[in-house]
Amino acid sequence: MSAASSLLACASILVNVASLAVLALILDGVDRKVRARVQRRVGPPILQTLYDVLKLYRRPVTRDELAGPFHSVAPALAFATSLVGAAVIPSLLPTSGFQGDLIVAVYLISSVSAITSFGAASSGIPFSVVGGWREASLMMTSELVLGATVAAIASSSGSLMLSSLMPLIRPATVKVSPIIALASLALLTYVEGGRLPFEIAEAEPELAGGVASGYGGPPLALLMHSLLLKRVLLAALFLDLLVPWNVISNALGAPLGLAVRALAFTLALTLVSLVSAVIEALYGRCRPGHAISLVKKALIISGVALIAACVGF
Amino acid sequence: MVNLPLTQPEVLFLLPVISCLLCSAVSLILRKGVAARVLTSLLTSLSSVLMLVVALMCALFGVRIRLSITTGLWGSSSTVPWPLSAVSFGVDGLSAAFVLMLGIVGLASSIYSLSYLRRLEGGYDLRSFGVNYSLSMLLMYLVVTVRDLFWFFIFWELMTLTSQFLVSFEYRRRAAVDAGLKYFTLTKVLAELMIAGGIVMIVLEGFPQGTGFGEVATSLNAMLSSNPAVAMITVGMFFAGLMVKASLAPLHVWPPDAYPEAPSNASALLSGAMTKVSVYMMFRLFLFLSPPNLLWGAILSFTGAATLTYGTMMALKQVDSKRLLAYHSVGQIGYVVLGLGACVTLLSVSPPNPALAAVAALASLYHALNHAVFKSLLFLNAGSVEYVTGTRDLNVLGGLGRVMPVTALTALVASLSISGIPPFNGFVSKWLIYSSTMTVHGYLPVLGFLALFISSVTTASFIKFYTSIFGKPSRKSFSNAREVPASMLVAQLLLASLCVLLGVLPGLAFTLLKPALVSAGLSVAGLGVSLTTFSIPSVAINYPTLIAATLFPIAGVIYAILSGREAHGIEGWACGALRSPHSLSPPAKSYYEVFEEEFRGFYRVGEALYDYVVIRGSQALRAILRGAQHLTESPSPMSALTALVLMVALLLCLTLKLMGVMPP
Repeated sequence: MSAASSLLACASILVNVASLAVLALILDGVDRKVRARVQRRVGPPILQTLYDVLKLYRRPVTRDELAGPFHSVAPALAFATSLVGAAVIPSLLPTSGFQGDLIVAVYLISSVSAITSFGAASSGIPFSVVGGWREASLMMTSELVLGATVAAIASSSGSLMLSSLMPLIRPATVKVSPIIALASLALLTYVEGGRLPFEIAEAEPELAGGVASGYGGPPLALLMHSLLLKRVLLAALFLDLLVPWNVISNALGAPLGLAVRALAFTLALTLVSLVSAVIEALYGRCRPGHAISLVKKALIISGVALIAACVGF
Repeated sequence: MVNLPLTQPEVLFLLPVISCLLCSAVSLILRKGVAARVLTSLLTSLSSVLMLVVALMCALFGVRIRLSITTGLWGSSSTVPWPLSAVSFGVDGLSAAFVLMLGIVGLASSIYSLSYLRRLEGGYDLRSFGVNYSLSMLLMYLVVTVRDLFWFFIFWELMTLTSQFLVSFEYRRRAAVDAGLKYFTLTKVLAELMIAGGIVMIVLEGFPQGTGFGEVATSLNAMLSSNPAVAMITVGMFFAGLMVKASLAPLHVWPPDAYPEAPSNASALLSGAMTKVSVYMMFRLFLFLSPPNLLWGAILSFTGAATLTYGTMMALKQVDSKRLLAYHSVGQIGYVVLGLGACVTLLSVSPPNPALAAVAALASLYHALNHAVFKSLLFLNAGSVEYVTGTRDLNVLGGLGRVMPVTALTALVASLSISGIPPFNGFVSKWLIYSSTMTVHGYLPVLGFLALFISSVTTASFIKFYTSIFGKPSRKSFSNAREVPASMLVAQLLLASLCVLLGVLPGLAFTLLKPALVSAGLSVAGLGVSLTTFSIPSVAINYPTLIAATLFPIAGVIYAILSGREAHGIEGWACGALRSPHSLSPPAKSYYEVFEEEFRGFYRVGEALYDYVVIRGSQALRAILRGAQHLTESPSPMSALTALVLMVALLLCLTLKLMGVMPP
């Protein structure tokens, strides 16, 4: 690769990551608006989350005096991890220059949860500690389903490279297992997005709060931002496996193809967000045990996909 | 008598042996005091460095060592060669990989010992520790380099003997003695099975040329074609002996008692290095001595998957820091054995998949190396905490991150590594395991799925380990706690930097482990590995260096900016309740109560299996032994006669079967 094309590739990755980071905040605004409308409320403006985060970035840092040293490092590390995730998962623009790997993508996304839990459970505030446990418990249960889904996808395609898996369903060789695996991935996108009734870690509808209760100011903004970015990355991964984006961008050629792809991907992400928000508006909170039990049941779907993939269907 | 003159590689091989023997002699002479402590640590460190030199010379410069020693016992003039009359050693790629692990763990735990032994020298005689520690290291070194089955048994048994003294070193505590006894009895009993397997082979094949590994491989192959059932049973007997030392389920019952009771530097050596010795022999047995076999591939893979699942799920419930680590040792060895099982399976399926088999074997070795590094570090961390606070109870510990910053940092690196968080070392080896197990058809993807799920359980478990020691406030005040002495810090920092290095530069580990794969006849030509990137063409790709090079600077810059900002402190908040932080801090036992409750079915099945296999199995054995004792002490004519007839019939059947007269 020549120096110019390397620079261009780096620039396109930077543009992609920056756009996705802003889009994550706007999509949460859309979510909040849709939830409010479904519940017959007016709701905040669509850019409210963006305003909130920008305001928090300007506030002084709140330091939890009783927390362990990692508590203050966690938001920065979680945010950096989510940014790296945004760089390796193809989304608005393709990750030009290098190929992605499903396990690497999944691990980067899960690491955001893990780092958040490490940080929250290091806090001096009991609610934050309990929030950290809940985040970790939900992470374990969703990985139970995610593990089976990833194994099903890998087994049916014989590869973990995103370039071989995009899209998962191809008209030439239609198999059962990728279809079920995609359904399972859609469920996981919802669950791991921390939406009701699976929002047990932060537990916003409870007065007490959770993982974020030890943070204030910019660290809180970073934490919120990385969790929202993680939500978008999951949706992006799901869309990558569902739709042949590269076909769209290649058919029209650069730069028109890339522009159309970016627009179409944004619309698709908004659609995922809309559907999720409508479902979320219908639910209240549930006990952590109940949420874990619900997620556990999704193993039936991913398990079927895995068994089908193992025997070659 | 040694065959002189020795070549340079042979001298190189003998140096660690001499150094370990010297260390045990010095330890024996110097009973206690600073001199005993310092010399033991220095000499064992030196031995480890020499082992590292041997390993690196072999791995990096292709030096191959063969050394034959004629002992003179029973004389070589006899027409029938007798195994005791000669012993041969050799360091090939596989041995070098395991000598490397032993060297790393040995070096770190020996440096650590310098100050750590201070904790023990008041109450115990350090002679016992010094002698057994250095001899255990020596015997591990000999076990992974010996090229003769007969001598392998001898070194193996001696290794068990010396290491059990390390477990029960603090003999004034009943628990330590019991744990040592449990470890010794279990490993000894199943080592007898290995020896029985060896005897079966000797009876059937005779071994006219001695019991060198080459002859063993020829005999096993001959047995497999002439009498496959007996050959499989023989391999099974070997495997049972190796299983217990590697602590594979259902024979994993000793580490949760033994590792916590042993001094932490010994726990690090036992968990980091000794379990790997078993893994080494499994590699030797299944990839060198016997041809790849589908049945053994399945047995290894399923045993690995069952072990990783059961060990880690049990670890999640623990509240004793070292017991938690011990269960994780069980779990992580499951990953290593799953990798080996996948390799054997992929070599023996039709058509074979040698490219992916090489990846699976690499995954197994890579994870073994990583486990040696991060698990010994974790045991040293737990040891440091016990050194300072005197407790291992996660329920009361807490808040030590501020007073022990270096220990906390190294514990964090180790926790992130074992959890497989990118770009630490556990991530790359786990990625290799998934890539080799998930991308095929058959049962392997199901086991790969278990490995991925259990990886998140490991993460959760280490969130508990790290945060309940170094994070949230303690439930009891540890006002006297301070950072541990420099030598303990150096050892921990050494291992922590290896955790980062082996993760960020995957090409480094590949260079060190490649000779092991080549020596096993596995082709690595198809893999695209550079220092920074790991690619399995058209299957998977990983670029940990790139991840590290972006992740750490971004996180660092953000953290630096935040640290420079105006800040105000808050002293906790609990809905306005005015209580001390100690009384409000939630205990470690509550961490995953909800999750454990939701997965109670798994734990129930686990307990039931444990009850049937372990408890009832040992009860049945005890009953048989009591019956035998009763018979020998007061034999009633009828019972004695019945027993005699039964025994004769059993022996007759066995002999006929072994001779191939009866159908297998």
